[in-house]
Amino acid sequence: MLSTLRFIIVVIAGSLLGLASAWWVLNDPRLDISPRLGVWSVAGSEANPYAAARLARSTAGRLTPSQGIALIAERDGDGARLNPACTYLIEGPMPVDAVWTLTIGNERGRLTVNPAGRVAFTSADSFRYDPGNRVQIGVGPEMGTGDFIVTGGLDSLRVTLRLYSPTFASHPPDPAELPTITRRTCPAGAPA
Amino acid sequence: MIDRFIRSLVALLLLAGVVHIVAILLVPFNVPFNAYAQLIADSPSARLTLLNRTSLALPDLDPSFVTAVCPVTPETGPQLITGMLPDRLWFVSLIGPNGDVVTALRSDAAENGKLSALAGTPADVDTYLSAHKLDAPLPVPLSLMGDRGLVEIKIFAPNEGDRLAATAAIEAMTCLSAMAPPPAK
Repeated sequence: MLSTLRFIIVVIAGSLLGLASAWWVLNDPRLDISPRLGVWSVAGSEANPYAAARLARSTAGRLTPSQGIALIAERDGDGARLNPACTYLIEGPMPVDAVWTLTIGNERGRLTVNPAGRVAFTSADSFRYDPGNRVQIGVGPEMGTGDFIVTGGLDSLRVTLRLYSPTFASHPPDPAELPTITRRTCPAGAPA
Repeated sequence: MIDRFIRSLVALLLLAGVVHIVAILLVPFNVPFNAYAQLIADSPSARLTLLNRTSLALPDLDPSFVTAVCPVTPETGPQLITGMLPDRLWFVSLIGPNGDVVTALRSDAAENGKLSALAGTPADVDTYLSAHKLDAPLPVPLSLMGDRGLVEIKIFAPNEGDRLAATAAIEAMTCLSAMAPPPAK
């Protein structure tokens, strides 16, 4: 009787532990082991079973090698999770020979909604480039100066950079050739 | 007593490990909220459906592109996609129910923006192409891996003027059963 009970407990607890650990691994961005380029992780990578499972759950946002690559950032340059209540500066070089788009949404792929209707910048936009030909794009809850996207009402923050060139799929850019994300201001009480 | 406890603990951890591995490996085949499978089931057949850029149907759409889809299923049969695409970056992709892009064409694949592509199972594509008149230009074949999928057309449209032009171009395109007679002029 006691051994049967022990067997049932082991089966139930083992199954629950296995399922819970699988759920945790797939949902915690700190455990995302997709290939990384600085603050960016390569979306759509099926390099291992965990990446394949994450990709299947995200369903969209991926590009084929003939289209280019999609890069996702959910953490800033200091490794802190992006917070839609904080203000960030996306600053650095962008590929000059490729169409690119930089989109602001939440971690489930929903776009930001704001009065300006601005949800993205692209290579077709006119930018205020700094002397080093680097873009400076602000992101935050309140409209700022220069090129800026308001995060209005997002519950989480994800920046997606899509580089539409098959060259980048076979030879991903060096992290130094991509912009970084720096936290500028944050309301009191926001997680560090 | 302690021996039994350790054996139970080891068995529990081994079982947890096996369940963990099996669960991770099964995720790609058992995603219950796969947006593409839902879209294939929901999209009206034999026509291109424009997706709103804030569409709930597909998360993570690039809002700088105008996107339209047309399903390919055993019920619709192979689909012939024809039309003129604007002088912008565009992609025509065939996507499987699990979201995998099976094949993709890009703007430099079409002469003068004129597109004629046939999407279907390999058998359907072969049947169509073998019955095709030799003197007529062949459509670009897009072969499915399974028996259903989605043709997705994306046109780069970064500003409002581009969006209007891209929308008009897609609305003028056709996605029709390759077995059906051509529409009356």
